[in-house]
Amino acid sequence: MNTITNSLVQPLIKLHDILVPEVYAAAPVNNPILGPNLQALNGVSFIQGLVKVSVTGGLIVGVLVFFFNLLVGGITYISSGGDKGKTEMARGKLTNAVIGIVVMFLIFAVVILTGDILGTDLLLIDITVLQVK
Amino acid sequence: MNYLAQRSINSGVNMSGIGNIGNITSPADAASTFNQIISTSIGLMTVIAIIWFTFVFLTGAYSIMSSGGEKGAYETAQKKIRTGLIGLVAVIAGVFLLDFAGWIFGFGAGDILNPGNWIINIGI
Repeated sequence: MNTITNSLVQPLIKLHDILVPEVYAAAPVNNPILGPNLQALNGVSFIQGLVKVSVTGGLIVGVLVFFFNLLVGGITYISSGGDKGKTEMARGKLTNAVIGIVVMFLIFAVVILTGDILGTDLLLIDITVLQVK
Repeated sequence: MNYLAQRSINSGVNMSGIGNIGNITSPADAASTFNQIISTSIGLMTVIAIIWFTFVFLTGAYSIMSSGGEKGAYETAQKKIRTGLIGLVAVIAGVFLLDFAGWIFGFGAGDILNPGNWIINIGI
C-alpha cells in the first residue's frame, strides 16, 4: 500500500516541482551594450548618478568656458591699443567671467543656505515619497 | 515490475526549436530566453541609436562649419546636435527609467525588468 501511494505521489511532486518552481530567478532584462559598471545599477541609483554627473559636468564645462573667456578677454585687452571702447569691452568680459565663476562655485553654498533658511535639506530630496506603496 | 504511474510515456521525439534559443528544457529556461530576446533587442536598438547619433553629430558639426556666421543655420545645427545628445542619453537611460518606474509603482527590485517571471507567475 505504501509503495503504491509513493508511486502515485512521487510523479505528482515531480510535476509540481517542474510547473511551480519554488525559487526561480531568470536573468532580468538589461542592456547588453552598456558596460558592467552601468549594468550593475538599478533605476534609482542610475538617476542618482545621472544627477551627480550632470552637476559635475556642468561645473567642468563652466570652468572651461571661464578659462576661454578669460583668455579672449585678455587678448582683447592686449590688442585694444588704448582704444577706449575696446578696453571697456575687454574689461567687461573679464569682470563677467570672474563674476560668473564665483556664482557658479557658490551654487552649493547658496543652495545649502536657502535650504537652511527654509528648514530643509535641498541637496537631499527624499524620492521615496514618490513610491506607491 | 512497474506500476501504472511509474510508466514513462515517451512521445518518441524530443521536440526542440532551432539554434540556441530553441534549446529549452524547462519553463525557467523559457523565461530566461524570453528575457534574453528582449535584452538583445534593446541592445540592438542602442547600437542603432549610437551609430545614428554619430551621424547626426557629424552632420550637425558640418552644418555649424558651413553656416559661416549665419544665425539661422547655426541655430538649426545647434538644435540638431542638442536633440541628438538628449536622445542618446534617453536611449541609454531607457532600461533604468523603466526600472525606476517599477520602483515608483512598488515592484520589487528588478521585478519590472523580468517579464519572463511574470509569465511563470500567472500560471495556475
